[in-house]
Amino acid sequence: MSPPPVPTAAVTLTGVCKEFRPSWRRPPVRALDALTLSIPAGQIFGLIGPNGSGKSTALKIVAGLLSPTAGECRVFGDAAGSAGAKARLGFLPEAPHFPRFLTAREFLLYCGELSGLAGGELAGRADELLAWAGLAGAAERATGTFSKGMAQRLGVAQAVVHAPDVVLLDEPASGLDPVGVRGLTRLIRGLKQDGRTVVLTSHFLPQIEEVCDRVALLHEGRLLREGAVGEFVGPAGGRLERFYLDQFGGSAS
Amino acid sequence: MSAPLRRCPALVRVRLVALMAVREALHLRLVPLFAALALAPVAAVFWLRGFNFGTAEWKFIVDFGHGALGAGGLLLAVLATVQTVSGDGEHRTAQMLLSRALTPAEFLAGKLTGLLALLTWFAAAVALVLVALLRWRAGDASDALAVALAGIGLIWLKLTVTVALTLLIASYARSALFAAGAALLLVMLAHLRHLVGPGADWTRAWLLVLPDFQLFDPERLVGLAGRARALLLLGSAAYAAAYVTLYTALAAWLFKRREH
Repeated sequence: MSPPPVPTAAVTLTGVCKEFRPSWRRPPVRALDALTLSIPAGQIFGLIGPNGSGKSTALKIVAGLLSPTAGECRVFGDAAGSAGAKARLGFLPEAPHFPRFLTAREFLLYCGELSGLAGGELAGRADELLAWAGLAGAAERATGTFSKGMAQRLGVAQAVVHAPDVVLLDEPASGLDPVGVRGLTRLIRGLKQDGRTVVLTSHFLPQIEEVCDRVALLHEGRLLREGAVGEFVGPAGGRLERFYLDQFGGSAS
Repeated sequence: MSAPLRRCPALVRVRLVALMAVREALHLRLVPLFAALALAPVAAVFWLRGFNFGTAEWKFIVDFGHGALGAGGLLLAVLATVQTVSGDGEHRTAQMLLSRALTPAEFLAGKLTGLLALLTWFAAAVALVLVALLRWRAGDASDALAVALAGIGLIWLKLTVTVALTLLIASYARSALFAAGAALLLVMLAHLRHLVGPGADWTRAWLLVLPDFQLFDPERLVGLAGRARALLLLGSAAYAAAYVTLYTALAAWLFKRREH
């Protein structure tokens, strides 16, 4: 009997360190410390941890927006930040801001053109994504008038306009009401159904527990634990939030 | 879209960022400022029509037009550049764009192109007003017209250097306020650079970091014949191009190293 196929890694981080130097007089701050992770293709992967644990830094390194001080990061084998890696990535930063004067449709067309799409293909893709994100009725509205939930959904739509294989979402649920979280969760699940790999950071642990296949717990730039969500919550069906609070102190109540 | 653009994706991206920079600058309510500054000489001449400046009137009109272009253009160059570059950084819009195929150098080249287009329209609007005024008040003074337009060309060159200098600062600065303050300070120093006395002291080499904005003073054109005027313009264009290239290259290098 042949061994079960090893899942392809969409993203790998190997011994990644990242130091920031706030000013030349101050010592550098280590945001990531020898982080090694392998994110399987086609899964939803959650990065959780307290503020300052290095989640957003890790995502920005994968997106090619930051260079690691040491170690390496690859996206389907291409070095992060390279043209090959960028073509396969979509990124939603935390609290995204769109040019206020652009309509949702114009912004998607702009992002699509920057990613190499054009003409009828792009126009069709933009309309399809606006409908998918529940923004068809607001397609011609200026993004400056959008609610937080609408802006986040538009943010997810711009991240996938060029149909990337990997979608990076930094705190997508931040500031959303329960209805907004529900809508966003639907979108994230849809991305997985389309065969994409999703990596998201969030402090909203029920959402992580609900949508993620695997989770990595970071603390002070180091990987504390990584595994399937079931390994964190236990066979008795505990809550991820309970595990998190046990790790970092505090009470579930 | 033209065939060369279609063949070069980098040029397509630069063009897209340039168009967006123009739209953003126009959206910043800079259009009313733009129009007011261009029309200021008209209003001033209406107000002053009871006066007779005699033969010096065309010079007054030209100086006024150059002043409007110089002052308004510098403010427009600094503020629009800071807003479109630093604003994208502060609001994380740049993160969404730079995680795509767009490179930092293309991003800055697009911003530079868009802002230069905006300043060209601004200069053209002032030039139109100036030409109309000179025709109306000074009659057929073709040489005066040529000097006025050459002066506008010199000021436009100074504005292009100002945009590139501001782009460099905005690529490094962490806030729009710092970028605007530092750019205005350096623009002021560039205007004063000619006051530093001559000497071979090696420390004078540092002065080369800043262009001498006095070289773009339209007064230098006064009394020059056609050929000499053209040579002065060409020399100034080469001088401005050298600084624009230097500043843009440095800005691209800094922006690439910047942690977004």
